[in-house]
Amino acid sequence: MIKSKILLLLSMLLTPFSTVAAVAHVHGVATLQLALDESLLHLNLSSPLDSLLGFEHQPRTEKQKTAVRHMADQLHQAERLFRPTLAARCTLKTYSLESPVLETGKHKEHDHEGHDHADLNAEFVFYCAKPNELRDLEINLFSYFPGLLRLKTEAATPRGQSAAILTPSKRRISW
Amino acid sequence: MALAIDIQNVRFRYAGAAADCLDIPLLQVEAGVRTFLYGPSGSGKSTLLGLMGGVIQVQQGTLNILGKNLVQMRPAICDRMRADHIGFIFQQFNLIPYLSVMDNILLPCRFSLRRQQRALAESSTLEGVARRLLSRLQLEKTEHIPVTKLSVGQQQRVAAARALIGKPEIVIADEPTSALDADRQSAFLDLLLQECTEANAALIFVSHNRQLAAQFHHEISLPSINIAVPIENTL
Amino acid sequence: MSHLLHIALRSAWNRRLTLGLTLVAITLSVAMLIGVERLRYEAHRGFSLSVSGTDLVVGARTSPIQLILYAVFRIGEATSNIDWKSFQDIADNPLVAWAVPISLGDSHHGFPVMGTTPAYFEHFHYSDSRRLSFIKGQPFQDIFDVVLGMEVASQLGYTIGDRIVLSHGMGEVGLLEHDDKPFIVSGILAPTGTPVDRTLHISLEGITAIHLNWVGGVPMHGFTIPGEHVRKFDLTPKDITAALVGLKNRAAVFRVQRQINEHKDEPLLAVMPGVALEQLWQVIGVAEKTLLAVTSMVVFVGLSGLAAVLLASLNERRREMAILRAIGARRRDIFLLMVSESLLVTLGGIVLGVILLSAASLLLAPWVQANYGISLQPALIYVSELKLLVGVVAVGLLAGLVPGHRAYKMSLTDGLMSRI
Ligand SMILES: Nc1ncnc2c1ncn2[C@@H]1O[C@H](COP(=O)(O)OP(=O)(O)O)[C@@H](O)[C@H]1O
Ligand SMILES: [Mg+2]
Ligand SMILES: [Zn+2]
Repeated sequence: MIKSKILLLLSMLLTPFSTVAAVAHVHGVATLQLALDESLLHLNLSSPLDSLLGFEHQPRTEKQKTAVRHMADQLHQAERLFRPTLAARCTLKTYSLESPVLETGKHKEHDHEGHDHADLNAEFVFYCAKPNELRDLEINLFSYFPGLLRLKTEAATPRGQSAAILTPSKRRISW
Repeated sequence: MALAIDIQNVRFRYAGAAADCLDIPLLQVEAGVRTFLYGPSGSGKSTLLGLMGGVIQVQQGTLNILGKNLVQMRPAICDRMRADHIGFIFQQFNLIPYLSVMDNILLPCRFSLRRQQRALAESSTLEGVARRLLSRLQLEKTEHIPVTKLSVGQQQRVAAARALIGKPEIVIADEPTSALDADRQSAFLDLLLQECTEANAALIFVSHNRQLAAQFHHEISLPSINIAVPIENTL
Repeated sequence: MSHLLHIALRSAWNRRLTLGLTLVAITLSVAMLIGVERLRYEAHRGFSLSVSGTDLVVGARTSPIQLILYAVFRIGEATSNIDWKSFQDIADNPLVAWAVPISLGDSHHGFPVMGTTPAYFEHFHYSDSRRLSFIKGQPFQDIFDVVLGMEVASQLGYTIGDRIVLSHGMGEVGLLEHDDKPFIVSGILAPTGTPVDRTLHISLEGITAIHLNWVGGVPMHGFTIPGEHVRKFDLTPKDITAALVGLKNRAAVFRVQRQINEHKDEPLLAVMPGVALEQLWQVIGVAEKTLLAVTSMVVFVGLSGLAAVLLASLNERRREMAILRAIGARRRDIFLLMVSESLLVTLGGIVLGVILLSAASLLLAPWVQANYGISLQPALIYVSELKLLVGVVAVGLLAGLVPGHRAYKMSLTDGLMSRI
């Protein structure tokens, strides 16, 4: 169709598979997937380790080891990183962190002197007493991880699907 | 008798000018009195009228209009004084070309509540007052003619009606007859004098034609009361 | 204040020729500005209303936006097909509540033909979870039944029982016809304001049936299978264009998406339609902003013209200003007079521009709908446009400040100007 040539052109501009971006590895950029179902708010964060640590290999120096510990400490305090609408009264229920640097010792053989990329995958589940009140989420990752420049978010809520790109100056998604 | 205009030691110089334009030790005009003002072209007559109307601001001396000193008065208050108490007639092109005869006459009542109220004391509507003035000035048929189509004589009479509406205490006419031929000059002056008397307004009338002076109470030569030294003489 | 407005009006009317030309320029530029904004708004609205309740759209690997545009909006380049086996795998996923296959490619008088299953009428939602409804007839039951979108029926004048011949491929002219197997209208859908209105819906078996004797996009020479015999063949499709997927649990959407994207037998792409649209707006946003900037510039040029005209008129109006001053107008009044004249022309331009645009959009609505799938509502003004108009007024005000200031200065130096 001749119609909407512009739309077509624009759709070409987009890289193919950008939805698979959840697995794409771009330094400085992380992805957060948000799903709200009934009372449970699922947050799935995947980020290149570089965005959070500044390096992507097993920590070698004392400084790097401290950095890893520091990163884990921050991620353990998810209620500081993610602030759902107050009125929804959400509390952190469970979370899990997954990254080669956190699995001490076991995966040493995979550490190829820092030339490989490595990610962090974290899942956080909040229980919300009043999920109907949940209309936005403030994300403070930028304050704790200065290496993080952009956060791509995708959300699926009872109000529909949405996507937004957050930056240090825009830290809130709403739906 | 109360003074309509009381000028003492007023000096005025245009910005950038080398010498004073006016320096008047004393000039007093009583209420309801007709004054004929004359002097050569460029002697400062129009400037003096501008000072009286508060359009041109003076910094020095006393310039009382109806007992209020315009010197150092805030410009907006000066403007208000002028709107409330003074009617102006100029030599030519007195009317706003895109307004009707009626709108032109009623303009002072739009800018001054006092003039409006005084006009309404005469008749129930402003238009009624304006029509009465039109008929006294022999302009009955002109009400619906565009002002640009009026003859010069008619235009001057409409300007007179505008200056007189709402009975201002002072009417200032700056060479209003210069654009008229001799017959019409005296006809216009007769009507103007008659209406000023009717309204009990003080009239300051500027003209070159000293023959007209006979009908006034006073005759003043501006150069004779202005002690400012013209620049030519100082050289 | 009102007397100043009266004077400003009369003065503007007095110079109606010059101001009129300026007014035309402002009118056109405002119509353009609002028009661009209105198209943008309607495009966004139309697109966002077109899918609801579908958690994932699955198709062949391409860009997510291309997949959504083609599968949901029937716009843009066709994507490759996916195997019927892949569709079954998706439908069998325990997390999937329902999956509806769609098959595109053929057309009828420029309207797209879509093969699907009756489940489509049950699961497809638009706007705020509204279901499709029939104003006449019922879903297709027979292989050669066709269900028409409202616009197809009304534009082509079809009703229940009419016979329709489909064309192979999409395009306006030179298409091969599937004239050996005509379809019969079994139902007409109520209008939705979405691409559904412009679609002909037939069963997947119908799609297979009309292509039974086709190889490589053309009918096999001298070999036809009459309509009544196709039922003897296995009409299970070999492949489809895309699938609409609904999940049992919304939170699983990312998991299912990952599973589908990692499908082993063939590369698949699962797209969250809401997310893809959001990405589309992000890309288009740049173009939209550019367009808005350009039209804003045009408005700015129009209003600069206004300022220039007012400035140029000042000299011939010195006399007028002096008279008004003598009558008692304050310098502020002279300033306000110029500003209100500028505002009058600006407001006039806005009113005329809005009327012009409304008339134009009323006239062009069918054409825009047909060619761009954007439905323009018959409204004088949208709330979303008000902020732009406020901006225009503000610039109009600024345009008046310049001549206003000049006039103010002039009335200071001119005095009574009785020398003229
Ligand atoms: N706006 C002005 N700025 C500077 N000089 C002016 C202005 N108006 C008048 N003058 C000068 O002031 C003098 C008196 O002018 P004016 O009052 O118009 O005289 P008249 O009305 O008696 O002919 C003249 O020399 C004239 O050039
Ligand atoms: Mg003079
Ligand atoms: Zn075909």
